[in-house]
Amino acid sequence: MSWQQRILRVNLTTGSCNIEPLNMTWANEYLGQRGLGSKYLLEEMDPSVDSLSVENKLIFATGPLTGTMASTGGRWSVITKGPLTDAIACSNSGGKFGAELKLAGYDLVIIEGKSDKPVYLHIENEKVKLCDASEIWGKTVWETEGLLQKKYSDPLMRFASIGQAGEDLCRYACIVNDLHRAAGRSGVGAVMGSKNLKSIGVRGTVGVKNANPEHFIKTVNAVNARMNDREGMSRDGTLDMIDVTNSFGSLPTRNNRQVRFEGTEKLNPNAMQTPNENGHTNLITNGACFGCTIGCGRICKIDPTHFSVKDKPQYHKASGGLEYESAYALGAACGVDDIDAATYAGFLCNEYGMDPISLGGSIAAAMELFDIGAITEKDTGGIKLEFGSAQALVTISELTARSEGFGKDIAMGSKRLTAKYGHPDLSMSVKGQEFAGYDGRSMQGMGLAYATNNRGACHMRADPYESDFDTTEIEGKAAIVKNSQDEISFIDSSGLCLFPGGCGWTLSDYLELVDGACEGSWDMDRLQQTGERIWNLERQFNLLAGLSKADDTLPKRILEEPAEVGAGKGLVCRLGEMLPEYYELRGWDEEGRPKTDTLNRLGLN
Amino acid sequence: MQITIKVFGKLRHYMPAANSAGIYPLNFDQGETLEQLLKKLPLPEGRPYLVLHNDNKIDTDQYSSTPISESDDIIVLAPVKGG
Repeated sequence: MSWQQRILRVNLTTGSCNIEPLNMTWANEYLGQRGLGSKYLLEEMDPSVDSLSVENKLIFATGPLTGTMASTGGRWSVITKGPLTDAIACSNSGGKFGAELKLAGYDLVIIEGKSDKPVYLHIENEKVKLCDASEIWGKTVWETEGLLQKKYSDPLMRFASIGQAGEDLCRYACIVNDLHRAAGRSGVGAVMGSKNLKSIGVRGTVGVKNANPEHFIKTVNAVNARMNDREGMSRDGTLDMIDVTNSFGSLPTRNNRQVRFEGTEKLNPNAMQTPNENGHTNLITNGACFGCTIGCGRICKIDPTHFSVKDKPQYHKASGGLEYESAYALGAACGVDDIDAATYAGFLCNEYGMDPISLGGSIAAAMELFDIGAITEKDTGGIKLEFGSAQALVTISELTARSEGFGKDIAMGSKRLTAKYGHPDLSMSVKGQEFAGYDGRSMQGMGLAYATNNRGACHMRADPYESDFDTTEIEGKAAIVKNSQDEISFIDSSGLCLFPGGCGWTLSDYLELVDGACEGSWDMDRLQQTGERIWNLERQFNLLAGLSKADDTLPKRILEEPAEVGAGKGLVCRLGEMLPEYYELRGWDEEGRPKTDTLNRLGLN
Repeated sequence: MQITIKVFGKLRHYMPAANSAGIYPLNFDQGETLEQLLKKLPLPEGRPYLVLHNDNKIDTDQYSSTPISESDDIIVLAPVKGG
């Protein structure tokens, strides 16, 4: 079977590291990764505690397919209570770290307590040790990986680290692995920083077993062959979406004031792949995570003559470049059409460990505050924080990364920032988490998905895309959002990536891989019920954390200000009409609380 | 007469190298419809896409009844998933 059936429990207060058996009843009910990590979190902590307190737990979770030869079998997640949202946080990453952790013999690593001094965790199969991190505390993610790589002299060792943003408790600090992949959202990096844990380094040679390897290999080959539409993603990454949303009128621009950005052609795949006036091309090559046959990652280089890096040779090398979300957040959301400036801000996110979506969303909110005079150069320390200013984007990103000057305010996230300056309506967020690159007025289903997401606004927990690009009519969207949320909960718990779903795989392909990897019989009913169980468990966590129906909402702008152009011209998001139907489909009462029948049916009572 | 069509998203993959930016000039005759124009694009059969005509989404069953003029703004998109 593809679970290792072992968890590693690390108590940073006592310094103990113990290997325990995995709860296999829970594994069969919640599969792995997101579902299983969330179950452990809810069972082991009080959801009402402060997210930056010692009582919060931080779980690194793999899925049964992580570390196997299934295509995209490299996903893993970090589950905790999120400092950005004060709700359950489950942040998904790729790269190589998760697979290595699984290959070292672990399904989960549970971090609890707090170290009184900075430490890092070193894992080599069963050899586990907490080590002094005084020499790497205060260093960037890149410096940290470099120093630890040198110390252990093993190029196959993988690291997941925080940068200074996590140490300084930036509300949307992330955990970066393999230099430019990240468990990005909700501030999971700040939780790691609050515990004085700088990095986890892992090397694994145990391998992943399967009860019927011949059958599994045949299944993997058959399912891999059905991935028949990957060329676009390999060539352009997710960035090809920017021309789609811009044309459609769903690209949030200038803090969602507009839904179309006139600078899109300077940020799109063509701009990334065409030499500029200096003969420099932003895109160098693509990149792939462990076991992935798509390769959507962007490896990019900033023009060395660009103002952001002119005298900084350390940024003249290739690293993780813009994807759709970072191009939206660090570009269109801020009105900035400078691909090098946006790429540089993205580099800072990887280097210092910040979520680029929330960074861009927070800067955009600050730019609007500046525009209306709610903040001035006196507040910003002299920075003209104007929409469209690449210089302002660059300067404020640097300050936020180092928690200096007005960067400290940006690091609070847009919800706390706009509340501080008296305009909470200007935070384009849900439950405190900033929007992704889709506007809920032309994409009505996405509006509902944002509002009902357990971890705050995000684009990766439901699949309303096809419906939303087809029609702005709301009939049927509640069911589409609910059903896809359950399906994605399952996939997020498997160790596989969602992107094959856009490259030819169907839900059946994912199911076939899980059925081939895991003992017991997995069919569509079980898939759907498992996903629904996970979703409702997350909801239970949030209700116990103090969230309620009041948090299932959208900013006033999206509910009351019609979009000016595009498919959503003249429309606001009709959330109020979709939400009651959504609750009913979920088996929840009018206040958004799971009914007893629903909990009993899912085994959650 | 000539019109420039924009082809975005994954459909760019089917455009010739010279049109990799997704900007595709097409010749057409007076009276041609949107349906006839779209058939001139090198897009694979059966591949779903959506068409924006002067910023309005046009349903498939309207293609054959929508006339084209040189000043029209036509964008062809493949529905994509997010990430």
